[in-house]
Amino acid sequence: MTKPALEEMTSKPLVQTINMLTDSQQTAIRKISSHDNARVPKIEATRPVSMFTGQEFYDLEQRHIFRKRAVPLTLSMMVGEPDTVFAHDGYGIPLLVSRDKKGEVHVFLNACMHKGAKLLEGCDPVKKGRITCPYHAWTYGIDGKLLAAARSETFENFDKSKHNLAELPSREAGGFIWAMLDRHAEPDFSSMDEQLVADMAAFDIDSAYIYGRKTFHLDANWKCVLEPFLEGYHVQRLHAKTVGPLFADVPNVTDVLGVNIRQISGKLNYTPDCLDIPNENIHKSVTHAYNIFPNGVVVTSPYYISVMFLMPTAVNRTTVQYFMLTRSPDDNEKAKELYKKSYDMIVDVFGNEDFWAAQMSQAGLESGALDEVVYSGLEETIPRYYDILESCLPQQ
Amino acid sequence: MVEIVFVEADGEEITVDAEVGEPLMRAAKNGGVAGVVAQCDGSMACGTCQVYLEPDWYQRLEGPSEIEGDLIEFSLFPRETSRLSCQIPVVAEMEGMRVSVPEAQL
Repeated sequence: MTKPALEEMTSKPLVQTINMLTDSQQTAIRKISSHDNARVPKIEATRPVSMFTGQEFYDLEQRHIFRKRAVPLTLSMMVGEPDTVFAHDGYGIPLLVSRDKKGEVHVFLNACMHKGAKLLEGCDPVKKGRITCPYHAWTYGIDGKLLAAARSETFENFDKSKHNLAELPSREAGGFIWAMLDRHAEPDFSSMDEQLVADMAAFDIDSAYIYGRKTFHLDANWKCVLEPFLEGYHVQRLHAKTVGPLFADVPNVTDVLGVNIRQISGKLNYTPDCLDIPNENIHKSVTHAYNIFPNGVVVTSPYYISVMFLMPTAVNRTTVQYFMLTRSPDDNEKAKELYKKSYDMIVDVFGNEDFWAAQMSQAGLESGALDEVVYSGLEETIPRYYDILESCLPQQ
Repeated sequence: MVEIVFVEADGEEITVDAEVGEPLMRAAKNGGVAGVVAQCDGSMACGTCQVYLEPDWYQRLEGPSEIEGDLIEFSLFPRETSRLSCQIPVVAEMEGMRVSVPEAQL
C-alpha cells in the first residue's frame, strides 16, 4: 500500500455518525419507526418456480440484463493503486481488471490477441505495468496496448495497433467498477444511479480497506442467493443461533434508487431517540442493505461493510465473491481481534446459513413440489425487486 | 572474454565473462544473474531483461527503438538509463562495466 493511500484510510474517523451520511440516507433513517409502532403490511404476491429453475428464464435474464446492461463487477480497491491488475473469472467469462499508470480503470477480456491464451491466472491483484503472454510472449501494457510481439518480423503486414486487448466498456464510481459483459452491446450504464453512488461514497467504499474476501461456489440460482438480502423475515428464524437476536422482526424502510434498492432498518437496540446521541456510531443501531442492480449486495455492520457480487454461471449455479471492508487496516491489536472475530462470524453466517438455505431452497424448488413461491409482508421488497427485474425483460 | 559486473537489486555483485557480440542479456543468464528474466529469450517482446546502465555507457550506445522504449516505459521500475539487455551487444570496451538490475521485472 502506498503512503498516501494508507493515510487516506487512517485519517478517516473510525466510526461513522449519522451526519456523515447523505441527506437521502438520513431522511430514510429518520423514517424508521420505533419497533412498537412498526406496522407490517399484508401482501399477496407470488412468483413462478420456473424463475429459479427454468433455463428459458435464465437465458432471458442473461440476454436482456447481464449482457445488455452494465453490471457491478468488483470494488475499486481491488485495483486501489496504479499499475495493479487481477484476473476476474466470476461471471464465467475470463476478464482482466486493471488500473493503469494514469489511474484509469480498464476491464479486458483475459485473452491474448494472438491465440486467445489467458494472460493472467489467479484472482489476487498483482503490481504490474505489463503482462506477457506465457504462450508466445506477446506483451501488453495494462492499459491494453500491445507493446511487442516476439519475432514480429515474421508476420507479413503486421499492424501492432490492431491487436490491442479487447476492452469492455467500464465505469468507476462510489468505490465500484461496473462493466458491460458483452463488448458488442450498446453500453448501458443507466443502473448506476446518482443517489446510489452518493450513498456508497458516503460509506467511503472508495477508500475502504479490504480486510478479507472469499469466493463461494453455490448450487443455487442467483436469485435464491439474493433473496435473503431483500427481506428480514428469515433473520429471526434462520439466524436464531447467531445474529438473529440482534435484529427486530419489523419491516425495513425501503427506497428504490433508479433500479437499485436501499433498505434501512433499526436493530433490536434501535429507538428514534438514539439517532440524536452525539458522536454515536450510526451502524450500531441501523442496518443498511442495498441491492446494486441486478446482483450486487451491500450490508452495513457496526465496524465493517459486507459487499457481495452474486454471479450466475448456470441456472442453478452461482459464484459469490464476498468482501469484508473496514474503515482502516487492522494495524493494532484491538482492530486485529475485532476484525478477525467479525470476519469469521460473518463468513459463517452468510456461508453456513444464508447460502446454505439458498442451496436447500434450490433443491426443493427443483423437486417440483411447488409451482409458485409466495411472499409475506416481511418480504415485500422481493416482489418489488422482481417488478424491476421483469421490467428489464421483454413483455411475456 | 569481457568481464562485466552485474549488481542485483539486493546489492550482490556477480562478475560474468561475456563474449564479444553476444547480447548482454545472454551473458547475464549464463552468469546466473537472477534478476534478468528474459521470458521471450531475446526477441524484444517481454521487457523482462531490463537493466540500468551507467550514464556514460547509456550515452555511448545508440538509443532504444520505439518498441524497446514502450516496454521500458510500461515496466514498474523504469529509470533514465534503462535498457533491455537483449538489445545490447557486448563490445570489448565494456571490460569492467557495471550494470544494475531492477528489483523486479514487472
